Amino acid sequence: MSALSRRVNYLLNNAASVINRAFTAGANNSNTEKMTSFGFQQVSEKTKATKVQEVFSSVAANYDLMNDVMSLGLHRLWKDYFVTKLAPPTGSKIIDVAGGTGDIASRIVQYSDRRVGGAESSDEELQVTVVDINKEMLTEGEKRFKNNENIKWVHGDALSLPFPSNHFDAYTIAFGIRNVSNFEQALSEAYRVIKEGGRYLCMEFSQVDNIALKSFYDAYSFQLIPVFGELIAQDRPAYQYLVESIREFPDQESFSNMIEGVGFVNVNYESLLGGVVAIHSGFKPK
Amino acid sequence: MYMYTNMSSFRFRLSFIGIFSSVNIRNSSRVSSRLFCSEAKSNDGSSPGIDRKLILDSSLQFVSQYGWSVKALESGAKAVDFPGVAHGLFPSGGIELIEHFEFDCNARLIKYLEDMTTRDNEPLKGGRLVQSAVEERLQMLIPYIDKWPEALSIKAYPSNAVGSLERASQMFDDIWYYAGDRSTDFNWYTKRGILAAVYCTTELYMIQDKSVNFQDTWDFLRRRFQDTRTFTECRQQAEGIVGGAYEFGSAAITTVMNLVGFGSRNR
Repeated sequence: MSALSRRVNYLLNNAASVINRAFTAGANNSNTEKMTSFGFQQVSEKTKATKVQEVFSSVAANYDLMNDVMSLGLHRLWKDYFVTKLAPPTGSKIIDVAGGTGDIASRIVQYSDRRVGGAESSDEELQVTVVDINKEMLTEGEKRFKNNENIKWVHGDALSLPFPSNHFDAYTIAFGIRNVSNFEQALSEAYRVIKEGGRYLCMEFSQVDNIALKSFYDAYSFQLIPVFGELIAQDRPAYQYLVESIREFPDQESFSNMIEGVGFVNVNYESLLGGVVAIHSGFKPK
Repeated sequence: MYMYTNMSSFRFRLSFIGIFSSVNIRNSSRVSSRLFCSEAKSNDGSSPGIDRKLILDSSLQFVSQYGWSVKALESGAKAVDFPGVAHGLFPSGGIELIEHFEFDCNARLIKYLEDMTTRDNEPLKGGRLVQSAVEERLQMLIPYIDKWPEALSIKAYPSNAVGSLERASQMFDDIWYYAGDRSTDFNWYTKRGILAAVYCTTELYMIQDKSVNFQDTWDFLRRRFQDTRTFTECRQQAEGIVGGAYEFGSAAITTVMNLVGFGSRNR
């Protein structure tokens, strides 16, 4: 059954890309542009960037509410767990990419506060730098956590981060890498800014391999999520994109290979909820 | 809206996630050595690019301060110029530090056993070697004795118990091997069982011992070995009495088996 659906997906995909290419070729006269996936469509990397930008600008205000509705609140647990896995020590310098609304950053600061509140006193403060390409999302986060001195907000692109090399102890990206137009380049950028011995930690929707869970999950995401999007955020296409882009994202093993490909070592992943979400971890060799 | 009222609700949430999660560790020497129990040293073999052993060794000096914890691993990483987040190289936390320590102790014990059995000046063997090996091995715990109760409890977690037993039984095997034991019968089990009982009770005695240089512990250990010797002597005497009956019985059984053809070599 999954083989069949994969085949259908593949055919749809091909059809979409052929049509798309026909149009873009006519419009731009350039066949040399690198193609990437935007949901089930194939678009040029530049187009994906602008399209993703549009999607997130339109959902920024309702982003959190929609996350709660779609994941039945589970995204909070995933994010809590993600930060516990990182267990950031005091004094760490952490970069959170695509973390516009500050979900991860605030949890990191909270985690560190709780540790300091426990036993040790710290002379160095933890610093989280949130980078997001989307100004609207960044504004949401800044509004929410404007009094927090441990969080810095920077407008920037995951494909060329405005920081020197070997600068951060850890790089986190939660539910963000999927929206980047070039995964490899984002990974190499991560590799560049992380200090030697530092950690790359990525949480992203991934592939479910349990057939029973998968059929339920597919029905839920294709039938219900776009409807929620329509009802709550008045934006069906944005959520259609969301579920499609999840299906297009490489599975756990392939993504691990990509992470190893840019030079990270000790790469492993953990699947949550049967693979709905996966946390990938890697270290920069020293 | 993100504030949690207390830690326990936070922990509950995390344990809830655990039910649905599965971990995949790639290229990990740790997992394979746990499953196949092959080379003790391969456990801490440095993975390409990152010297895990370096961090573990450095973390040991923080055990007396922070216990067998992530905090110790974090401080150990920092002490060798790694970022603190490098503690994530040891996803199981404190138990990985304990494993490292025990593998290291067992390796040192093998070295000791080799030295004792091959030294020119009256080499140790048999029961005396076993006793001195146990004492030697327990002495390795002294630097961490304040935090050893914590280690024992961590080792007893259901997820860690199998690995802990494996390491312990490997150690008992090593000791008996150097003591000259090559038994292949039921004796193999009783020997290891007796050694395990002596070792574990003495270990428990030791963590509560407040005497100078743990003198009470070594006395305790000597008395336990005395007990086992008495036990063995009793058994041998008992065997002497029933021995005749046993030999008669086994000859009778062999004869019967030969009669019915079970003893035949080319059956």
